[in-house]
Amino acid sequence: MMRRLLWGILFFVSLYSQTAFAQKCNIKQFKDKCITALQRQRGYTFLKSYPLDGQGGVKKKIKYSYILSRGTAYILTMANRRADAKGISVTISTSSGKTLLNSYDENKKKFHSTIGFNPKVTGVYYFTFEFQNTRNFCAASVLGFKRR
Amino acid sequence: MKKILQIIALSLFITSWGWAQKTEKTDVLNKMIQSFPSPVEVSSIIKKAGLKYNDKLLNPADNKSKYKDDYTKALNLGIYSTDLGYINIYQNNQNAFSYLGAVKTMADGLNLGKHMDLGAITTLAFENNLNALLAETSGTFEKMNNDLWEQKKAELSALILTGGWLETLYLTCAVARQKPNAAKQFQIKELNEQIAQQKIILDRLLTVLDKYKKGKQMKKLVSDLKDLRKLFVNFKLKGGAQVKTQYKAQRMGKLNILVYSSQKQKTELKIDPKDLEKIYAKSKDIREKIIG
Repeated sequence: MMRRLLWGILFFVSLYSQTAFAQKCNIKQFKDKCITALQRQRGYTFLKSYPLDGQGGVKKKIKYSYILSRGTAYILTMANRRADAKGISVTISTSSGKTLLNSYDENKKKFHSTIGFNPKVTGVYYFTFEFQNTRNFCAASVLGFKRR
Repeated sequence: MKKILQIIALSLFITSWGWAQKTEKTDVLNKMIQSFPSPVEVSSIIKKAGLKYNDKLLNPADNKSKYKDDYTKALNLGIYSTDLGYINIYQNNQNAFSYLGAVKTMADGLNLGKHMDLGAITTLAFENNLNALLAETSGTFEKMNNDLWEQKKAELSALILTGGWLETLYLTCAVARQKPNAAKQFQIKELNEQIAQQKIILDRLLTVLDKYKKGKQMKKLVSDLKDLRKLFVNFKLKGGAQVKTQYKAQRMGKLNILVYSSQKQKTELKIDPKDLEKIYAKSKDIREKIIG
């Protein structure tokens, strides 16, 4: 019984310390990279930035939502410490959970650092960012828009 | 010894469970607040529709000294931020500084002024670097929002959001009804659709506000917004059930572009200008109570 209790305490202590001492993630440099990538796409205006702090691997998926309007073209740029943003992907889904688009091309095993999205219906959409096959758990994403 | 260990283990479990529950709940609400569209989007539609910059529609920056309590300061912080977004889109630097001052006054009044880097914002405005300027201002409001959550003043966050949204709705209605002239109001389809689509945002806003419906002022505000919501009832935004929508991903250059296709052509929103006029009047009425 004593041994079980000790193991239990050890488990909680290690869980806390894993979170507390997770690598510090400096988002700003990646956010700036995303804005630079956004500037390269003509006519797009900044809307919002998303910090993607995986807390050293504790969080593999980070979910955000946004109300997107029909008649507007949106773009999501992603950046991490790699030039090609390999290791970070995003899935766009509807409020009912239907997946619409994934930035990771399963067939070609390729990560796209920028994706475009033209909603036909105004509503709440979900962006689920995922760290895939990477030890790099710090990134950022920027949402931009332009009128179609 | 055994008992002490049991107590430690139990308290650790309870603390971590309670913490997780609380974090999850506040996190969901905070993320909900962050999901609201930026007023910049609507300002950009107004500009693209060829409408001239009109500072008479904005809440005068000189009004800033009128707001004394946290409730009106938070609502007007939202209103001034939307006005600033509108000014930024039109890149009117002259007005930008007085509205920046108004935003700063409201933020200082709520102990949030420390998050505004006026130097950086001014430099970016002069450089005409719109995206970097919007990123800076958006970051400022995120920091303010997070600060309010940490201070357990999330209701002020909700009020800033409400002020910002209401000003967006009012501005859109006000410009839409002026074009092309007073006799033929609400002729710009894009703006009309934009107003109708606010129904979805208002529903989400009311969900957030319902959590903080305490006190006379807050209850009155929620009641006014619920009355406003009733005026959106005629707008059918999702189209008929017979329209089958399909989703297809296409490549455009280096980009993955998702294209929606439907068996029928895209549905037209049925929007009666009379409903828009009522929405304009109601939003103006609520706004006037706030700006004084």
